[in-house]
Amino acid sequence: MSDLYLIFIFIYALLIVTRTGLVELFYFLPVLMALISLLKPKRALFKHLGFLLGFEGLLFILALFTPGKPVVATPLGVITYEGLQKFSILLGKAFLSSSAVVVVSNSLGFPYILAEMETLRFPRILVLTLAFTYRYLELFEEEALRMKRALDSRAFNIGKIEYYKKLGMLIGEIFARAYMRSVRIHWAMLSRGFGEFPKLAEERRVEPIVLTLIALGVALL
Amino acid sequence: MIELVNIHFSYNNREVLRGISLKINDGEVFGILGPNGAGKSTLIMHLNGILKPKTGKVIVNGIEVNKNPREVRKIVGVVFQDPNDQLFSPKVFDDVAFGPYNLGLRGRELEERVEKALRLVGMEGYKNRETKELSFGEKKRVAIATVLAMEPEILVFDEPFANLDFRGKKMLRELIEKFRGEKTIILSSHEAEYLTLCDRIALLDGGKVIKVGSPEEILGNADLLREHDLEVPPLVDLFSSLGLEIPKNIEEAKRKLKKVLI
Repeated sequence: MSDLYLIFIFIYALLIVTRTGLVELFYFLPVLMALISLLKPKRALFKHLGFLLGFEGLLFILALFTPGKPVVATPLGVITYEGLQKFSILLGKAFLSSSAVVVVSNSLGFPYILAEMETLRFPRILVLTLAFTYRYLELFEEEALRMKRALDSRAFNIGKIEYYKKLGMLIGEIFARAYMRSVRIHWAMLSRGFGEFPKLAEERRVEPIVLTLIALGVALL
Repeated sequence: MIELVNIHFSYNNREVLRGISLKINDGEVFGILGPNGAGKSTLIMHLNGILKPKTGKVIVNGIEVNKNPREVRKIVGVVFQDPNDQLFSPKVFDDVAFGPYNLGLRGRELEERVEKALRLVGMEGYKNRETKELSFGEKKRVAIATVLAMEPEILVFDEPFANLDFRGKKMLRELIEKFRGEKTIILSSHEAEYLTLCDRIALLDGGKVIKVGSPEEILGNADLLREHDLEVPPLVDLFSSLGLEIPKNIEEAKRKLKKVLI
């Protein structure tokens, strides 16, 4: 059963992005609710979902101004009926599909998703890139925050332009440090006989039920 | 046996190692002591062929490192200074399994090797944890386990005691004692007090070997340590001023003091 989540997300997302009407999208809302109640994620997830909704809303904001029957005039332009419809469909598609990924990865952990990707024979380079990104992203974020705190604690009597210049240099420094760290990581890998990466999880066979579900998903499409 | 013959190495035209020659015997606990920038980490990187000398050669168990680095890396296990460099996998199990997997271990054998290594560093039960969730001390222990899992004949630790809490330091000391005589252990540090457990110590400064000797000869020479900007450990200072042999740990110090006082 554990291998099914990624397949589920894949089929679910594919079904969502191929819908054309708003009503059709509403049918997927109970599916998302069922997924949430099944996986019982932490409360913080709902905050993440809120951010996701806001971010995706911003991404598609231009769709509101699609030419058509005017609804309301704003300083940015005229929001139309067609625009509202287009915006709702785009936001619905993006939110419903991406929130399923967020729910699953938050509840089961990203390494679990990576292990599933390996089991499902995703390209190794993609899985490894994601694994490294996941491992080191937080570390660089922490380092950047520490450096920014150090900058802020000494940035007296300097203008905004000067401050942002320093901030730019700080970002450059983070890249330089990232490069230096990558060299050291490579050394550490070589030291332990780097040749082939281990699997991110025990080798698991793709079960017939998984293949059946993929076939079913494709047939449904 | 490890033999370094006249090693020279430069970083960006700056000579970091200037003619290092050393012999480290089998089963020896060998310390490399030196201030920051002395060339300790660079020297360690030469022991398994990660860095190649400009001139000179490194021979490990009769194998010239430059000619067969892969074979040497099975023999020499290096624990890096920063565990975040060493632990690159999202999960503890994957990281500890990385080395033995590359050695050809699979399935139950691989799992057992990982479990054994984690047990040795007191981290059993952590194999399914995410690496980024570990504290610095825990990361350091897992980093040691990643090397122990390969069961190398020679264990090399670069500044192993740095940033470790009391429990971590105790675990590491016990681990060194466990493998004493069984494996060759090399420890590098800029803090002299951690090298009291070594059989021999090489004092390194400015990319050169200043002196090689017993802990009494190196750590007991307060003038020599101060000359090379190194702190004289209080215990060493006390014992050498009393003309006593330097103890390897606090327990030994207590026993020796009792003998003198009672």
